[in-house]
Amino acid sequence: MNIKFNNVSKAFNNQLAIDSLNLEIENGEFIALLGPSGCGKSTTLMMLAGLYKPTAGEIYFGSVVVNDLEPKERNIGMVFQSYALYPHLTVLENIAFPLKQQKVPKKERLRRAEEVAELVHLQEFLQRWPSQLSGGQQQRVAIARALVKKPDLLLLDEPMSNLDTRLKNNMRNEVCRLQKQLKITTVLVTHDQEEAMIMADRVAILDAGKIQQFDPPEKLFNKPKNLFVAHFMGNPPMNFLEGRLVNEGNQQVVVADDWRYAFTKEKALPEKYTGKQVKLGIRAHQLAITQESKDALPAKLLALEYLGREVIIRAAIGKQNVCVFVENMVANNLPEHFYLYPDRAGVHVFDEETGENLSL
Amino acid sequence: MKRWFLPYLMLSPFLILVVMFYVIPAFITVMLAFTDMNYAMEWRFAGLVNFEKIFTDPFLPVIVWNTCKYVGGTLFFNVVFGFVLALLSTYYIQHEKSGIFFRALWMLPRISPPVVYVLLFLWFFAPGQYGLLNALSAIFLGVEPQNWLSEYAMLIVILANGFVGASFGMIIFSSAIRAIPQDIFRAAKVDGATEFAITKEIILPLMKWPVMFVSVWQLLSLLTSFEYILLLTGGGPFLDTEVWSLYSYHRAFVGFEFGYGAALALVMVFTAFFLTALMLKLFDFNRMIKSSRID
Amino acid sequence: MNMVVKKTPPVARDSFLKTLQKKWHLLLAYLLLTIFSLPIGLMFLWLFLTSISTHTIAGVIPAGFTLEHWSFLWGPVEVGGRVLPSIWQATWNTILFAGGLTIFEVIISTMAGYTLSRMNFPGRKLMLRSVLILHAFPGVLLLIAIFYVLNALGLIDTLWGVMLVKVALQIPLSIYIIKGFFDEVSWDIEWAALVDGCNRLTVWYQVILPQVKPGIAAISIFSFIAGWSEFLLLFTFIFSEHNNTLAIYLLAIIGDFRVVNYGLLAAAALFYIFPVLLFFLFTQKFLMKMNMGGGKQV
Repeated sequence: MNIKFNNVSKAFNNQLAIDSLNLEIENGEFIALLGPSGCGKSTTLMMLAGLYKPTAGEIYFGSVVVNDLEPKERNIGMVFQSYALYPHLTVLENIAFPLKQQKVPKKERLRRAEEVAELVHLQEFLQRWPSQLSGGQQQRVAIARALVKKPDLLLLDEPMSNLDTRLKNNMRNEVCRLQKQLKITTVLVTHDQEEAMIMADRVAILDAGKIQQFDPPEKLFNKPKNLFVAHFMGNPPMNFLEGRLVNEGNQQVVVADDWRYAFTKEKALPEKYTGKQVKLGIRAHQLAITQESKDALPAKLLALEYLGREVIIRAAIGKQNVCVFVENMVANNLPEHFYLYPDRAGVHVFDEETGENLSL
Repeated sequence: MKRWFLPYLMLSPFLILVVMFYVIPAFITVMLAFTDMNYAMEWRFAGLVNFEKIFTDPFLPVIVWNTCKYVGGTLFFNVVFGFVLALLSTYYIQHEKSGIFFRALWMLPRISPPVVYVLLFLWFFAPGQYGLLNALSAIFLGVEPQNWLSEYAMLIVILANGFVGASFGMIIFSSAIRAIPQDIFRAAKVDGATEFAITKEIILPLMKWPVMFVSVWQLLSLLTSFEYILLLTGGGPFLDTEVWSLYSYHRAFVGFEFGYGAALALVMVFTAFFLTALMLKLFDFNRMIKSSRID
Repeated sequence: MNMVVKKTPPVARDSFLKTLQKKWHLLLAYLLLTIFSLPIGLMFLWLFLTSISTHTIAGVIPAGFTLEHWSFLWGPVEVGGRVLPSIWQATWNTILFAGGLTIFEVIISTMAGYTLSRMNFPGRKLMLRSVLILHAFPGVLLLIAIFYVLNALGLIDTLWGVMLVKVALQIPLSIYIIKGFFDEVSWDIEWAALVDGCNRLTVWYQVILPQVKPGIAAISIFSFIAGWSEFLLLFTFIFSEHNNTLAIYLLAIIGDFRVVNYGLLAAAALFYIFPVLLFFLFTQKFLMKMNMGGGKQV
């Protein structure tokens, strides 16, 4: 089932949480809604679930407008951050609960519940109470319960955030496997960019109730549409250098008090941007240390952070701090002053006012 | 339609009760106050007669004075005793089980049926040689039996209500004291404060709001409740322990002057409304009102 | 392997006096509390001892064991030349009154409490406000008018009528308490149930109610104790002897307590208070936490 948001807004007490959202999810696709807390990603999910009703706009499931449909009329499955297992029901009863609501005869619903339980490797725990299970097992029950009624849409609300790192990796693989196997359209809400990148086919980045970019993970990382996305994606975050875009002779240059950066012909920006205040965005691994000043930025060493194989160098270019990834060897006998040579392909130019990426 | 149908359906039994036993009685009280209804239960408009009667009633000065003594005395006893009990059982005695034991003991008067509780008091202060207090004072002081209930009626009324009421303050003050972070006490001790100084300089100032809450809440209940007095002395001897609300009750259900009784009650209704509003304002009951998270 | 011989280091032992000096606050606290609490403890102890004693020494200390005072449980008892009616009728009435009250309270308050805690509807704020106001407002003030209402409904002098009044007076407190329990139930569970195919009514019944069982237990016990102990309403609105409850029954014996033997009175009082004490023993910890808003009585 494909899903479409058409200019959907949601307000709480006249405060806009979602501001004219447009989004299309294809049948069988796994997408993630990613953003900082309060960005509106959970609200979006709740509207898909039917727990919140949109203030304006339409949500389509296939060709049907579902705005006023109650959750139970939508045939969806949902996994919550707290798993939300019913503490007074056993594992089997928990999984069979949605079928009981559909008035499926007892025998059949138990059979189907057991089937799904097997899918998530819970066969041995069917008679236990939720409180007797570990976090990972509870998670599996929640997933089984969401899948048992063969939903058209699976909603995952921060499902991994209560698990430890190792379990998290396991569960991610498993959820992806199930999703591909059952071909369910799936929406994941998370604030963990790593999770979103690993699991989802496409990721929608939300901020302040608006979608900032909706693209496959690789594109988000390499071609951020604006400052927010560039800043949000990647760890350490992208380095930003403020300057002014000017023409020097026939060359386009960004200048600041302590440094200048010249564009190559093919990377040059349209004329109309000349004179703008801009930010150069360069990722930490796309800066190289050199002793030559040509086409490079003068830097002063501030600190070293050893991560094992790699080292993060914190340095200052003019008044702005940057980080650089280098190999252990390079870092060992670094002089106080050196130059940083940016990889031309990795330099993004953002309009300081609008945040838009001008170099795309 | 759908939006309010289910909620009001689920609220309806509650709302019916409220209408039957709060709203309609409130209106009836107002209306009764302007009639001279008696045992014949006939509505006869009487204008302001009942209210004129309040001002000319020869018993009323005594009753007002009794009400002041009763409310003031009990309130004082409740707050002071409640605080002392809370302080001793939560701060000075850190051993939790002992603290709980004493607090539970003090809950006994509150949870005992009033009839049994009053029976114990009647016994204790009974006249003649079988009264416990008389027997005790005969043994230890060798004095003659006294009729305590007629000589010290008001004092006994205050004591009986006080023992019931002290537990209310005790519970609220206890939880307020427990809410003070232990580090503050440790810091004060490191700074050289004595236990007495800690009580005076740290605990007492933090009790301001709990004391206010307990005082207003108990003021409200003391002004309007008379169950224990009714059982203990019935307002007597003569009118020695007759307080406003009991007087209203007596006038209505013993004298069958429903009109006059209602007028007396109406005065208290207004007082109670004022105190209730004050309390809701002072103690921000609004924080209880959270929005639902399902549309 | 090395044998390690531990030498006990000399421990500085406080002398008794020094301990006393250090702990005198604590001792004083215990002493004061004991003195304050002694009257209460003694009264109840004395109640118990008197009910099983034949006589008292010096009018104070009960002595000599007997069960004679409890004979009202199995046979007619004569007091002051008058035969007391059987206590079982009154007991049954009390059970009926307290039990009925409890059932009403639980049903009405779980419905209203859930609605107020977790539903959005026009007028919700007003409803919440009125619960709070009614909770603080002393309903006894309306006794005279309630008499009129009961009379008009033909419910005067019936246990059912008085029970309804008691439910009404008690319900704001019950709603207030149970609403607190509903507030604590996680929204995730309710959402999950809605997604799993429930509507608001089945969510309430199948999923949320089982989560607030402790709250239901609390209001049940509160209501039962309140109903069991009720005096004023029954005293005011009940006239027929066959409708008497234990409170009124006991009061009738106290009526001429100067001629009555204390033993019978003590036994009857104990019989009456026993269920309350039993409940209290099991729930006192909880009661003491919950009593915050329960100060309608003094």
